[in-house]
Amino acid sequence: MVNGYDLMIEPEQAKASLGFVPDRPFIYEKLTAGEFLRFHGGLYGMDGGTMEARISEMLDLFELARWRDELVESFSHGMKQRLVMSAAFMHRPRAVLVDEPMVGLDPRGARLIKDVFRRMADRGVAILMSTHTLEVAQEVCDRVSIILKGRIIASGTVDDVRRLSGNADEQLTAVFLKLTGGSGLQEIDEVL
Amino acid sequence: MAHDAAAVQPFPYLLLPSIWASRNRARRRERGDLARAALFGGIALAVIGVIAWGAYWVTTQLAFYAELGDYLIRLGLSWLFLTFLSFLAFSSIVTSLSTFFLSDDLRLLLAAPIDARRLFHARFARTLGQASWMVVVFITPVLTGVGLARSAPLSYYFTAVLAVVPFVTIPVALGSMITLGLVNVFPARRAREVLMLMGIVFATSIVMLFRFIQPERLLRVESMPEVTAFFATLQSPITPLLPSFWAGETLFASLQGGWDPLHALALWTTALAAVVGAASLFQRWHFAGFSKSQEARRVRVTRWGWIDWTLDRIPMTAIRRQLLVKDLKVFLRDVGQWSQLLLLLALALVYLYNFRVLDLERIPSMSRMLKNVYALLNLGMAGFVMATVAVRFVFPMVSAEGAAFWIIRTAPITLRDFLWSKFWTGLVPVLILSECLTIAGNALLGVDPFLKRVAAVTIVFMAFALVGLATGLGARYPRFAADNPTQVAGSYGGVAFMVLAVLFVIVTVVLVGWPSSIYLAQQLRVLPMRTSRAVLMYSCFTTAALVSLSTFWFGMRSGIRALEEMDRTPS
Repeated sequence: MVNGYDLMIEPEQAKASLGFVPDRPFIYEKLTAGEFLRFHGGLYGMDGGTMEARISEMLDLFELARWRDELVESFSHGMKQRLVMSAAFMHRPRAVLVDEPMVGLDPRGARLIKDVFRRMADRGVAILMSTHTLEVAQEVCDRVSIILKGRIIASGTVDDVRRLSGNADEQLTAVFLKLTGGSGLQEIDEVL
Repeated sequence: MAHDAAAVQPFPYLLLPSIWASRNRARRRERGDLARAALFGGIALAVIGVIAWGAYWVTTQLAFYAELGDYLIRLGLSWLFLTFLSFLAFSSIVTSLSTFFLSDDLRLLLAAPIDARRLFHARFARTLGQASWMVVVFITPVLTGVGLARSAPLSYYFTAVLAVVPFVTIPVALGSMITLGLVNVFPARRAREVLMLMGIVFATSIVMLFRFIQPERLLRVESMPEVTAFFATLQSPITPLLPSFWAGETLFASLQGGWDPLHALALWTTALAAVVGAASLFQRWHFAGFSKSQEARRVRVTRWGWIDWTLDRIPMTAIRRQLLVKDLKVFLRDVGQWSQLLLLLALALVYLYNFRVLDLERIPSMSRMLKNVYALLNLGMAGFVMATVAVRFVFPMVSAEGAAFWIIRTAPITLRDFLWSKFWTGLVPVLILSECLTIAGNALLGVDPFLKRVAAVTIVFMAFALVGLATGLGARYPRFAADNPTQVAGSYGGVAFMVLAVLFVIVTVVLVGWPSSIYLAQQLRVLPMRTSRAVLMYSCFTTAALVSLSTFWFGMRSGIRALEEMDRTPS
């Protein structure tokens, strides 16, 4: 269910309330950043002056305004990632699905994205993020779940999960390794 | 040490990945592989057979003209090689851009302990293979046909191999050097676009030039005095300095049972010098060019604002408008895509020109009937043109979304709407092109007004059917991972579409042509039409319309169902 709509029964209404950020930012290389957002807005029923204003807003927020009329093909990975995020938040979704958002981002870009996620969450937008970078999860998430072989083996706030591992002061990475079994460090030593 | 062993591996070792990749591709079985191999293999064998037979026939005909015949064979060989020389030069420039500068594996190879010369040799061998295989496949049956017709000795075939190898090496080496220069000046990707466009313009001019010199004039008895002038223009003063001339001379001498060491040596020494020269230049400049080709750059963008302006004024939903704007801009900004339209335009002009120069009045008693037969032929040809355009431009439209298809799948639009948008985007240009071709062709021929109207209406039905089928099958058999639309068009779905499209065109032309000819025959004899005939005639027209509508409906329904199925299953 998304925003009261069943994805199986009313997929279009459900998708209209969703934003999606894939792990690899594949977008139309031959469109400019501005055109891509206009296209995206059109798909979500946006039109006219409000859409143009919103495009400028998003490009400013994600620091892409000066690249508005450049082709996507000349963007770096991080810029494409930020453009995809602009699109995901452009239509004011109620929930956003994010897959590995920090791959290829420079420290400034990563900071920006974390801030945006935090502020959006504070305004009531649900953000479901899947990541292998546990430092990010520890920093921005209200609740975390650890999945092993397709099953959730731990769930709760960051502190809840820490307690499950038996040490409330440990970093999430150490907790993860403990819960999923072994660090593999011994094998590394043997190979080296 | 391990890296010492790697450093002394001879250069063919570097070709192993592409050989293994081809072997793995051949081992992997996909649905429709056998059908595709049989179809393409059959077509290729038939084409090779026709080429060999054509060369054989022309050579035996020329044998009747003794010395003039010999002269023409010699001139013909020289021209054949000259044509291939220019083709090879262009194709090697484009190929070496990807093999030397844009290939993904180059980063790995340049980081490995491989010396520059070995890397050059491996890449050059690959460029040589990729740029020249088509020429070799074409030239082999021609030279075999000529040899068989002249009962040439075995040494002729040996000389052919000896001449063709250096002949293809020279332009490929020169092409690679030109590319090296270009990449050191322009960014590699921009250089590729410029070259692609030049290549298409080159091919277009060749097609048009060949048609407009009107080779059919040679067949007319009354134009014999012109023939001498025609051949005089074929002899150019610069040809003796070109490898094409040397290859032609070497082969001609061996065709006569002799041996021409001068030209053979010229070929081999030039080829070796070109390779050695290219190797030195690449050692010096390749890495600099490669680094340049990796740099991001700002590109000049054509805004195509008129597209937004025009579509804003056409009543349609915002979603459909944005899909259309996106498709048009992506198409127009991809040189590899729109430049093919130039070739298509040239072919269309040649097609119409053929009707203009068609001299049907030479047989006055037959001309009326012939004109109408040609009108039906024109309808069939327009159908095949539509099928070809559809498989190249409409069929790959869904696949063209590529890895960005997630944008459509996560957006709040139905995939049905998405596919219909693709259908209309494809239909309008295909319909306009084929209607123009048919109407202009029939007007130039001066066919019966009844047939003109029938053809114009039939084209509308055929366009709906073929574009619907191409859109639908394109959605049913998408290739999102394909590098380019040509690859998509050559996939199982593309071949299936072509087979169905050809069958559809034949059935439609028969269903429309038969009653039309009955009607025209009745009109000619000024006889009233029997009711039974009229019923048969109209049922044929109705069946043709029904065949079109059901092809259209089958295509679109199958595409929509496939997309909806895809939406229900996680990717």
